[in-house]
Amino acid sequence: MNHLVQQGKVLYWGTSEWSGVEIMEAHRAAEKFRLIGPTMEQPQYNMFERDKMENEFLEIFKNVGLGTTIWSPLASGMLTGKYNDGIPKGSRFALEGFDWLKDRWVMDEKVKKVKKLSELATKMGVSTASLSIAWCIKNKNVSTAILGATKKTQLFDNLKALDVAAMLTPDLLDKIESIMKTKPKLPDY
Amino acid sequence: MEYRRLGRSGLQVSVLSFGSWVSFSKQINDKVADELMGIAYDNGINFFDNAEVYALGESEKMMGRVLKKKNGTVHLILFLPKHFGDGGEKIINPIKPAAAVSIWWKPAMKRCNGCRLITWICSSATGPIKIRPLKKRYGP
Repeated sequence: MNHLVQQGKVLYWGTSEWSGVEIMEAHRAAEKFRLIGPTMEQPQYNMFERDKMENEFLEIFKNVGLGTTIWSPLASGMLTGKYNDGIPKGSRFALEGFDWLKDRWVMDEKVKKVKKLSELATKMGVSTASLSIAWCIKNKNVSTAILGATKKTQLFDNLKALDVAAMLTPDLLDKIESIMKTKPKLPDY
Repeated sequence: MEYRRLGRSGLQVSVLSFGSWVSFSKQINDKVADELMGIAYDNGINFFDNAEVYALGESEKMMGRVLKKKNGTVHLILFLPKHFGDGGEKIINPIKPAAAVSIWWKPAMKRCNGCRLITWICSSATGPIKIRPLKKRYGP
């Protein structure tokens, strides 16, 4: 990594799905040997997967800085509400070889939560997808949320997340919290 | 579009970005990819995620073809190729850790039609390339 940067082949290097401890070990080794440490990490982040971004990495953000290019803001489409009534053809859960995504996400309890989330989105006059993406970028430690749209309509809708983020008041965020109940519990001391 | 600094680097990335995992080559073709990347770019997206392991290199090639056609209009491309994926995909170049980095760079550039690679991401499935080689190579 250091060589690629020093040779000018890339400007920065980063990690994907490393733990907080591993990232800090890279920083420790880099500092010790006067090399260039990682700039960013690509973790999964969405309303169901929150621990790294809202717990594990907090001290890293504060102490050495860490950009994040979060993947799966829609939990493979789960948070669009498209799986609320089963798996549609052509969706990524229907693809061969990606069943593990389905096993991970299609669970009754999660669908129940997404249904409630969809109700909230309807009340706000926005799509469940744009609400879910907006929720991700409300977290200031997110540098960028990666979209995986396969259709023009999806992409245009995803882009509306910018406006929806501006609508998300603390009240609304609390409401989402009460639906999802996935906030990592931090120690009180 | 809102832009945020990528960690403590000077890079300003768009808060929404466009990625090709699963979708490119498996779900969409060149024409659709062209259209979607065009919309993304026109809306201020300056970060495009990709990796060698996405569709065994096909995803990079597709993005490369699309970008080549847009030559002259796209100014800032942030590519994030990763060594290995964790999506159950096969590895194209299973190279031993020590020499790996430089060997990977060239073919990735070729697949992407020589686009600018800004950040190189090292994925978790990489195991050996992570910490140990750092110590091995530069250790006391």
